[in-house]
Amino acid sequence: MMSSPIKDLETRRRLSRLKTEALLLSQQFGGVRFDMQHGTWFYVERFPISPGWNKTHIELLIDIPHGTPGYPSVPPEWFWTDYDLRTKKSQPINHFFTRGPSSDREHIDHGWGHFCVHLIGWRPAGGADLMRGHNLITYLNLIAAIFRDRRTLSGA
Amino acid sequence: MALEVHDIVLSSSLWLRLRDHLLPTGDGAGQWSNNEQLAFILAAPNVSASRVRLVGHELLLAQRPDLAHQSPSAIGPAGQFVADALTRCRQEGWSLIEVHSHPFDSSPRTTFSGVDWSNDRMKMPRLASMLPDPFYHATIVVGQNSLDAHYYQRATGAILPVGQVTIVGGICGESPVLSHFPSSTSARNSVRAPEVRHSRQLPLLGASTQEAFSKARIAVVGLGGLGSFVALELAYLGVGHLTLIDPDCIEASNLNRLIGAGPQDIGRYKVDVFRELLERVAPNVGVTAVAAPLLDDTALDHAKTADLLLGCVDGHGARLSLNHLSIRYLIPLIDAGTGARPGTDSRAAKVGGQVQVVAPGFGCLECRGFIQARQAAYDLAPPGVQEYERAHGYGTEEAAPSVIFLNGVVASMQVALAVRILSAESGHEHVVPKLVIYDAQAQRTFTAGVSYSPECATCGIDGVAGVADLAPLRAAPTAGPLFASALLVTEASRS
Repeated sequence: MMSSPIKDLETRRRLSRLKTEALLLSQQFGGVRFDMQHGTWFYVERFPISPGWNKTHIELLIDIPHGTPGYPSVPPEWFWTDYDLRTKKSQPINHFFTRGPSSDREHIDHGWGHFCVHLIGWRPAGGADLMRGHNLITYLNLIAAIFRDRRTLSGA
Repeated sequence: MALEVHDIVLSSSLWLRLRDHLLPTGDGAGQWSNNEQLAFILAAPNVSASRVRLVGHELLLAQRPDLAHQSPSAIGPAGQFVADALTRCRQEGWSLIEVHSHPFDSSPRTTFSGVDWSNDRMKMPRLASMLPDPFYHATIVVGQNSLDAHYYQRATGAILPVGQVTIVGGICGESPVLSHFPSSTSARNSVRAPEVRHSRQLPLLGASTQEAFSKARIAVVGLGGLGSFVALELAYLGVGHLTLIDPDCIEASNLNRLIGAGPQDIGRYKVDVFRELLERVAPNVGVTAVAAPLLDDTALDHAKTADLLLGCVDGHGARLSLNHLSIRYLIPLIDAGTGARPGTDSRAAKVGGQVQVVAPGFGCLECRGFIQARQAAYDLAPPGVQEYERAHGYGTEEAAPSVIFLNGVVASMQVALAVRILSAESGHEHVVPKLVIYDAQAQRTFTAGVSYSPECATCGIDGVAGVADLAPLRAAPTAGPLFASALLVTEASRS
């Protein structure tokens, strides 16, 4: 049986990356947090979205893939956001589910809805230079672009 | 019984930098080149049921300020250099390989001096007592034409020879993928006489390749249309040991392409059917069958013992996992795939496949763009999340078309590449292409260049090469409980 450092290297690598990405993202979005113990989630307190929605800012809680291989080889796809997010015209939102997986009942109880972004191309940046490739910054930029183009979400 | 360290595995780039440091040549080397040199390698163990391999991760070259003394016949590290390395071993879990040179020794059997032995007898037990299990401590001495290696066996307190140093990866991308340097004091295995059943292939392969093949352990991951051909061809060729990994049972829709399987096998595990088949056609080949996905603990334990991985999977999650297994444990991977795209009015149909090699210096499936992110994310999600996604219309793509003659061609290309890699291991200088493409409509194969990024998050400079058991593969745990802390954080933000 392996002792504790054996299992920790992968988590340490993921935490180190999330820490760097959090520093970069906090300059853009203010309050951000992440799971500093296991590296399983990343949280943005006030994510600005473009006009056309019933809110100007939303919370984002991103599922970080944490198997091995996990993030960054595996891209994030699902994130949780405000349960009561609507377009101003109250159109249905594609890829937004007010009920998550059954095991995540607690998220629903806490007022979260589940949102999916499908990434077709994903070339993760290496740790030596996070800006050369994909990372959480590019993922959040993609989310911002999707919210900007409400047609992709509401089918309007 | 305590496991023995079978070999020390190094990437070709690490080995080249190490050799350049230990035995400097060329202009400017001068007197410096006559002195012994020293380096440390931070390594990770690859422990399986049968053996231990020490996998090199990071090279620490001792420069002049890092040395307490240095001459043409002796060398010793400064205390700070040792302390820095040991701190990383303790804090990060690395094992330590000390390497020094004997530049004066050009014999074919370089070995440790009496002073080397005396030093190791003194410090090896001491370090073992300071650093927690599974710390391994090995030393290598490198001469002009040979090397020797030994390690401290914690359980017995003995210093034992390491069998060989294995170099994995291409040098400038075109050299042998596998090379072995036997250690001077290790027992040399006697060469076995080839079996009569292989006599017709010996003129083509050569006795040394046949011998290398008979000693090789190869893992075939995926026993579908490709893997069934591959496993049988390897057995007929005379591979030493085959590990078959596949979680699936045979279905009626598989019977158009699973060579050797019939209707009576429907419902049985593929690996069981093929183990029986292989034992019948090639009884001298050792076969281990694992009816589980690659990320299952048992499957991983067997896969990581392989000298060569053959990827015959059609899912991108499995392909990504194999890519990581290869990079993390420094085991060369030969990945293969077939594909067919129906034609349309504006686009011609395409049918074909590709075979490619993943090894240090060659790049990997990720930096080459051969992993489809969306499919990999779905494949690697916990079962509950997959079920949830299917309920919302994701992950429900139709099975890809597959036909036996296409599988047969691409599988044979894959096996031919395995032979080429193992031939190189036995001393033949074959060029190993990184990517071979088969165009079934044009009936031709061609090699293609591939992009390789030193910044790749997986195989690049800051990637996971050589982390081995310090960061083993594992399936994603189910979501849910881990989010409890997230909910507490967000609740606090709202209040």
